[in-house]
Amino acid sequence: MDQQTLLDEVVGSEYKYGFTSDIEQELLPKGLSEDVVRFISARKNEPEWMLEWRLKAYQQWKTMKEPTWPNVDYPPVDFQDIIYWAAPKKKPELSSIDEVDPELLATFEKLGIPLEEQKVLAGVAVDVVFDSVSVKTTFQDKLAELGIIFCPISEALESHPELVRQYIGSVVPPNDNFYAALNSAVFSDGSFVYIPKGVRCPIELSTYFRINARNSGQFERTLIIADEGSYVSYLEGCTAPQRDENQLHAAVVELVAHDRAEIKYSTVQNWFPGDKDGKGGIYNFVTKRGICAGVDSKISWTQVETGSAITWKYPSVILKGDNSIGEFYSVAVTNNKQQADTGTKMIHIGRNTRSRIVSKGISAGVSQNSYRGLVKVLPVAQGARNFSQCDSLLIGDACGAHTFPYLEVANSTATVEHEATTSKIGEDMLFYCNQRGIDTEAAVALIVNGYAREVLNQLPMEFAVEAQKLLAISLEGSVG
Amino acid sequence: MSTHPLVELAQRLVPAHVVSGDVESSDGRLDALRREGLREFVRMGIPTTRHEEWKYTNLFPFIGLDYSYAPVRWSERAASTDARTSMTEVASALGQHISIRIVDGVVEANLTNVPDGVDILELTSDIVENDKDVARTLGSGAPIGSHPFVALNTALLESGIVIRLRKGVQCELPIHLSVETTANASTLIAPRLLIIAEEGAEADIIHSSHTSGGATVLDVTVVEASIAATAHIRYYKIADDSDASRSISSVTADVHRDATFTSHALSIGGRFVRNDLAIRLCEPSSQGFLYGVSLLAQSEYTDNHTVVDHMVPHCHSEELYKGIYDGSSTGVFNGKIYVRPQAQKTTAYQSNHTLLLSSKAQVQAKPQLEIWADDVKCSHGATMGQVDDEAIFYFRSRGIDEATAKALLTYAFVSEVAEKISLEGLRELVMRRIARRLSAESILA
Repeated sequence: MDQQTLLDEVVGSEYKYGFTSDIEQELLPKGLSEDVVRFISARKNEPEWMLEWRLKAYQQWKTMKEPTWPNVDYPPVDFQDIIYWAAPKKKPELSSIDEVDPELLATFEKLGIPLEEQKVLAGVAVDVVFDSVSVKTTFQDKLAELGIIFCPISEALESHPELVRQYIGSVVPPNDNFYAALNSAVFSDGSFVYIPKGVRCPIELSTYFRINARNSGQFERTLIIADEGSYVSYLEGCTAPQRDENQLHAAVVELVAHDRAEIKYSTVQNWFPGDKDGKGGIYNFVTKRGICAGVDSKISWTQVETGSAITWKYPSVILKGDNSIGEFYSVAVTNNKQQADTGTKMIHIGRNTRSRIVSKGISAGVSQNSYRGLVKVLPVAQGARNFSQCDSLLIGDACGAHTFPYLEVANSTATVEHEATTSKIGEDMLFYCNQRGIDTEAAVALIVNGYAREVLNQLPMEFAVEAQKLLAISLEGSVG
Repeated sequence: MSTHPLVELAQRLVPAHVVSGDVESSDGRLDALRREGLREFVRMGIPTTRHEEWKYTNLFPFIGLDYSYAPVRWSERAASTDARTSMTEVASALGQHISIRIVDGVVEANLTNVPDGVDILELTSDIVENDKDVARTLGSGAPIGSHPFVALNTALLESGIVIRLRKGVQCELPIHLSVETTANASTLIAPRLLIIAEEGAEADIIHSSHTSGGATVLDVTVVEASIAATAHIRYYKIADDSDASRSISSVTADVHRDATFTSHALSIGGRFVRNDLAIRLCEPSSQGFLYGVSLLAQSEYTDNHTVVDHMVPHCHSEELYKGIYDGSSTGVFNGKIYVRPQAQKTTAYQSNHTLLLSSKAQVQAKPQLEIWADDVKCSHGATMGQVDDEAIFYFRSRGIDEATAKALLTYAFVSEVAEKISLEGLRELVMRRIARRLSAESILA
């Protein structure tokens, strides 16, 4: 098969999750103003301080400019042309999953992750964010026995306001950047997790984001706090239906790990990447940051990014506690006209802090894939250690792969290593597979899977399977 | 906002008829270029650390000084003898060589031993008008529109130096350009050098600067090289200067079929050194080699910005920069490999290694790959760390004390790059200077 036929085939494989659910929704008119912020806050029965916090963020946002430094190219977003509030009209107040709107359940069936199945088979507690409101949280009671709080952030604001107030904005301040400020002003919902001292969360916590309503931006806010000596693994999966207009997604995720606590955060993102002409698709502008606040704490980010028209995200770790560890494992796949500018920041502050970065970029079609990362060792960070590996794989001769690492070291006891390679799949590798009877397409899939294995291995079991399938779908037919 | 003193100086120095020249054809090409330089310099102004390319470069401590300008002029007088010691050292290390000196702005070229086929000329408006090679090279590579100091140099361009190697000429004598400045008041100099290598020519060009006197000397140098097919040019930039010097230089080279350009950035001393180097591999099978050593102490600062632009298929580039930073010095490395969509079969390798010897020393590195073609092999590696404890233990277990072990290891670390210098005398000098800098002369003798 020549390359064009193969490329056509890729293009032919349309977005699997491109359907719309006809669930009655409550929408606010387009546009952002102080009134919208007040409305959202009032609608969620938020305390006064929360409203003030939002309004302050909104004021700050108004003075900020959209960042233009990422290596991505897209028409400007009209922030007044976005619906900032979309919620299913009848918020189900159900005690069992069976009472959930069947239409909604059908949506999840189409996504291939029926709640029941997850609930029963995988033992996963899911906090489903359907557009802006968390619909149903499973296993909550079971978790409550251990003192674990896992609920929508709006609920946490009612039940545990002091915790939310203490931590919200402590890692990503509202004025951190343009999109964080926007999120702080208008975030509609998200997940809140608190793991008490010494508790090891027995199941993987999971949330599934899905952007449904037309023109609605999704602004969730996730806050995870792991108290002393606790452990939690959190999964985030994302899909969005096929739409013509670009949809904005500006989430904020904050992680706080206290002494000896460990947080593992995994993401599989397969939002609609736009069609072959680059029409439609999600703008994914996300701020994710964790702080290893206590000694011996650990935060690990794992991400598999196959979707979105534009990805702009840098899950970061501030290594404040002595001996703390930050990890970043990433596979970013871009095809057709997708653009990704993603990477991480590791800020070493504490003594003997360690960080590890493994980034695997795969570009196909006419896409652009950039790694942008910062490793910063402050003068006080004695004995800091970093290792970074950023590899790029190019499939087809019209795509691009770029690496922009920043290494800033101000302590002579630090050891920082960075390496990066860019290449295509070797003819010799393909030939080796061919002569053993593996056709070129299967060989590419095999090689890509092997290439990304180091990262995929970090994913929890259920996700790893899904991620491998996603890799295969995203690259189907694009033989270099 | 008030105009920056340096911008004001440039505006004052460019004559009115150059500024007002209406259409480009009515006056000389040189004037047109100067006008463009001034316009761009005024437009860009002095870069701050908010500018990505100048993120780690703090010009603030010296850029606002009240500089007086020492224009480059050619003189007929014989080369003076009161050379700076550091200059003599380089000169004697080179042995027999062709010497071009710029002493306080005055060019003193000793052209008695220049072989046939090597032209060393004054860059004048006449030559720019009449010599098509000069006209083509001047202003072709230097980033006038994006580098404020290249724009400044261009605005002040009245005279300069052209080194031309005729077809097939292998210049066996190294060519040494030494810029010597005595400053009793803050002085700005802006030398411009054109290197034109015709087909099959070969030469070594050494460029060093030597500053004395107590006041600050700001040296804004621009070098443009055009390397024709199968020519080989090796360019050495030596910064081994006093605390008075502040050096900002931009070197660009266009490399054609089967030709090579090799650059050595040897920074062994100097309070502030900013080197921009851009190599364009513009015809197949051209090659670029970029080597750098930065040995810094006290509050010294060296900043190497390199770009290798792979424009066509089948080119090769190799880059190796090493730094040893002591005291409260800061070293910056910003290297980019750029592979254009059509540049298939590119091989490009870059590595940057740093040893930090003191707790106050800092390093900032940004090794970048921008790859737009798929059939390429590109890699970069960057490390920062300290002398390996196990290696020191190995020495100590064999009865060698710690200080000696450290000195030997550090010396060996940078030697890898210094050894790439093909001129024997120069290589020995650089190794000697490195040893002196590491206070390891006695050990290594």
